[in-house]
Amino acid sequence: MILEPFQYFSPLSLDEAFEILTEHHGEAKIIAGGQSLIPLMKMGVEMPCIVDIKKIHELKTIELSNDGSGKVSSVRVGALATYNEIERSVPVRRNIPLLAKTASGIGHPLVRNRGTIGGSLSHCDPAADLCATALALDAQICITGPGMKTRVLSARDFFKGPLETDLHNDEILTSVFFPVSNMKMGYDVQKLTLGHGDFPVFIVSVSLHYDGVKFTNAAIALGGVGETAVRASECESLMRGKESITGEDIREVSRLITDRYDPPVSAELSPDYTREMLSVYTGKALRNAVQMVTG
Amino acid sequence: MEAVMERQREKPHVSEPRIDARERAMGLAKYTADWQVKDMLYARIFTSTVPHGFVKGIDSSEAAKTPGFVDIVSCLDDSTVWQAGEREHERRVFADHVRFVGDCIGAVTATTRIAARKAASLVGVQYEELPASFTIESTLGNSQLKIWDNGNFLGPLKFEYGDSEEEFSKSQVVLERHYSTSRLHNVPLEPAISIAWWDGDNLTVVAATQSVHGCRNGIAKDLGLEPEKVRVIGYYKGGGFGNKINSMNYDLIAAICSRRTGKPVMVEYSREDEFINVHGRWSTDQDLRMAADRAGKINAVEVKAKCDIGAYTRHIKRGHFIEGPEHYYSTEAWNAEIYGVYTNTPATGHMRAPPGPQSAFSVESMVDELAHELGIDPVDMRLKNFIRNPPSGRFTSNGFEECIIKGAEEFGWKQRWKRPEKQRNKSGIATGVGVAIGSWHSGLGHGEAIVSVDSSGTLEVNTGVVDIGTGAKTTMALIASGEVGIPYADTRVIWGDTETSPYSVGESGSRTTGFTGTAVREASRQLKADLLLIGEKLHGISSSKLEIKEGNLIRSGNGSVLSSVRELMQASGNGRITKSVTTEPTLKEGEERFVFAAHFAEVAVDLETGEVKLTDYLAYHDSGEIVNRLTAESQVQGGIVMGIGMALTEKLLISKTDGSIENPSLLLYRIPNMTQIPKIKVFFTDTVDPYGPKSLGEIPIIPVTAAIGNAIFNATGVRLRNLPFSREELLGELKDRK
Ligand SMILES: Cc1cc2nc3c(=O)[nH]c(=O)nc-3n(C[C@H](O)[C@H](O)[C@H](O)COP(=O)(O)OP(=O)(O)OC[C@H]3O[C@@H](n4cnc5c(N)ncnc54)[C@H](O)[C@@H]3O)c2cc1C
Repeated sequence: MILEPFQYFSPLSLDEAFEILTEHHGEAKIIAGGQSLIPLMKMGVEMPCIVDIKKIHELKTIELSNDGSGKVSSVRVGALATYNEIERSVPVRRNIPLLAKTASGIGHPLVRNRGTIGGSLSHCDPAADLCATALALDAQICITGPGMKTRVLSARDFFKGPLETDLHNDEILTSVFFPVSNMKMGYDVQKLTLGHGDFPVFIVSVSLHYDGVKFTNAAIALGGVGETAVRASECESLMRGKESITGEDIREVSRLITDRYDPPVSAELSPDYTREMLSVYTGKALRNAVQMVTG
Repeated sequence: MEAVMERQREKPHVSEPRIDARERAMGLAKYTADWQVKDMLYARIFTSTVPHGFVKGIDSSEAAKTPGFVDIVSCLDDSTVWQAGEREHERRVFADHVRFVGDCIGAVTATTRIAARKAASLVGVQYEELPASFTIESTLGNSQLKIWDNGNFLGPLKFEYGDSEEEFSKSQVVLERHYSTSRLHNVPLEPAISIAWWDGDNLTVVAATQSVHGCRNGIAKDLGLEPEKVRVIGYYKGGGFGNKINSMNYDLIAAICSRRTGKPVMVEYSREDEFINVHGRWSTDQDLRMAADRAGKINAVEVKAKCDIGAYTRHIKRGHFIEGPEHYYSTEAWNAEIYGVYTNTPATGHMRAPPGPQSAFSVESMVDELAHELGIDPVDMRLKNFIRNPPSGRFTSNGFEECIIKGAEEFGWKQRWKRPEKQRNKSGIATGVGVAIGSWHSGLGHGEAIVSVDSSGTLEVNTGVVDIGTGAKTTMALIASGEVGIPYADTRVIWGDTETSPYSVGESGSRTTGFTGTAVREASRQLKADLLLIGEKLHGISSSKLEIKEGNLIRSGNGSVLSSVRELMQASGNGRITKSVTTEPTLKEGEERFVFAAHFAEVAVDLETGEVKLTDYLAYHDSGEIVNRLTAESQVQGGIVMGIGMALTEKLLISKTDGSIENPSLLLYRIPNMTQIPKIKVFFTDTVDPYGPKSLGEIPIIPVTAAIGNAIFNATGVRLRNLPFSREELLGELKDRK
């Protein structure tokens, strides 16, 4: 039950939204899917002014976007695209299947029907599924402010800390660009949860590119092991440029990851188990990703 | 047995959707929370913040300033005793001696839900704190502790037959093991709620109860009223599984607050309140010994158990905290010694087969351990030992053997079961299968029903059932419709109101179909006999040569339609014929009446993480005649799902520092969801019981945890003895093995 009254606005355009955000500067809070905000309000966090952006239709689009030469260079996912829409989107499935796979595993159907990519990234929970995958996929985040001033940031620069991003409170995250590669892709996402549909304790998101001879890119993003989702760069460099990634390589990377990163403590699992699982799930994700490439 | 198995079913199973399925699915069904009563106020409880103490003072000055505040009542000005709240002691609605964090001290009434909630949060309470205990060990080890003045535990309950000393000393194999089960919560979809209003000294309560009559009697007793002065209405329910049994404290709170304010009052619990303020299942610590000979005959079982029953334990009888398995097997001796131990933690009480699944878990795991020790197939082990007749007397019917044999056949046990060390594992996943059996009582008792037919030929069944989710209304309609011969579609049911309906036993203890259904059947028979006599007069054909089918009077033999029931009624000149019946069936000397089941599970265990996935499940039940296949199957599946939760996901986390519940939400208390539930196949035997349909609601949860645990053992060779099964413990054991 939400005990405190609040003002509610439902702008139809970005212009209108910025007007409201400016007028209620500091007080106004954007709501998208409400899957994080409403639970917070129910827990008693006061939100005196809510700006519901769901009626701003231009924020819903998912489309391919071209570079200057007309070649598809990225997929632009509107901030309001829900997990369910992302999971079903043909451009996403075809070009950035890791994003579709990640979206399909978030929470359960009720959450996936409402939760949005913009909300998840703006909320910036260190263990959120999409934060890890956005990092693994080198996503570019597009932010618009009053006067339609727009800036683009890499996911890495966007995430600042637990529940903290580079967004100012009169800005809106409008879309997320995911670069498309024409190379062979191997990917997987694995997470430890306390129960099905629960927020991850930690999450491992892996993306590999293979040009037929060697792995040109290897990205491992981890969620839940630090202040924000992080890239395990020191492990990535062990794989990048290799012609093959062996079981021994995978074991080494998994070991390295448990040495370097601290999974969080949860009430129900011992630290030892959680730590061991970080290496087990990293191993699973890497094995599956490598197998997709070398099959 | 052969004969039973060979005999063809005379009629195919009836399988009808619930009579109110449309209303429920379309949102037309009016649940208690949907009632809009004119001028209604909202009451909100305030509760203890200390685990144990006396309330010394209450400061309501801040609360009273809240806009919308109307009234406050507490233990300082109301000492009503809630008799159904604790059998062995006096439990007040508003406790002045608080026994757990969350014990109800009082309630604030206000004009809106929000105002009531805010005001309640502002009430200040001063306590004199007392020593407290949050575990069985600390209760038993602390002589300073006085949760109750006359002792902090109940029991021992001793249950004994045979000479167990003798059996243990002469048996070739003796196993000794410890098992434990966790505190759980019923988690009905609909949290507790009640609305009450007074009209002079007549009280009306719209209750979310499992029994309108039980609720009425309880309220009347506690408030010192004649039962006739209390009307309880309870139409649509969102489940209870035992925690809406009889009268609840929130019914009394609504009535008390309404009497004080002169307005209708609604008391509504949040999910968190429901977890903390309504009881759940007690936990158990069990030491078992089992003795057998090499051929696999179980000679004796010894069970020593201590159960954490919280600060209160509703109406559970002294020591009846472990019960059931003494009726699974024919052993020479049985020796049980059971204690219920109070702790300063939330209450426990009735939850689907209250002691059933805890007791089955240990015994059915241990029988499996014994089978393994002796190198016997677990199904054969059960076939060698299952109970054919109780120690003194006989069962009214017994389809146990059929459940085990046919269940194993349908499951493909022979092809799927291999010794644990021979189970294959593919790419880090080990699969295995398990079996467990169980039985549960199936009593007979007082039933009342009014069955009538009106001039349009519509059949009306009037019983005091509430339909807690069991499909009771549908069952009653089907019994009457089948018995009289009027189509189900032309049958209506009156229910759920003490003012209009005769007594029905509460929908608890798996009793409704047996108790009230028997009365419905008898009334329907009498009604049919009357209709046949009218037919005899009208057509000049002896009633013995007449039948009613599909709403028509027909001639036996050639089946020609003589007239419709409607025409019969019109010819009779009666607007309505009504049969009001009370039945009181009793068992004959030496007879015992039980239901039986055998369950089969398959699991897949991830050897890297210890995660267990249930991949297949089959249940074979003897519940006698099945009135409605569809709702019966749902009951079984529902019970199994609760059992899956108990085995794999559910556990109330009790704080070590103040005994409070650390996970009072569906986010943190995990009931299984659809991805964790395989397709559950349900079969019923054709057992005929002389007294009609047997019980069904509770038994399905009983064998589940052991069936799953036994499958985990079969997959991995690891025996888990604590519920819920922990992936971490399993992984640890797997590693120790390497
Ligand atoms: C039961 C349950 C289970 C869940 N399980 C998971 C899980 O397994 N994994 C997981 O990752 N998440 C999970 N979630 C959280 C879910 O992913 C949330 O949907 C997500 O964190 C927020 O998205 P939203 O659209 O609902 O945002 P909202 O709740 O509407 O907003 C969240 C925050 O982001 C801000 N915001 C939203 N949109 C924008 C925007 N376009 N520009 C600027 N700021 C914005 C809001 O102001 C607010 O601060 C779960 C949630 C629930 C209720």
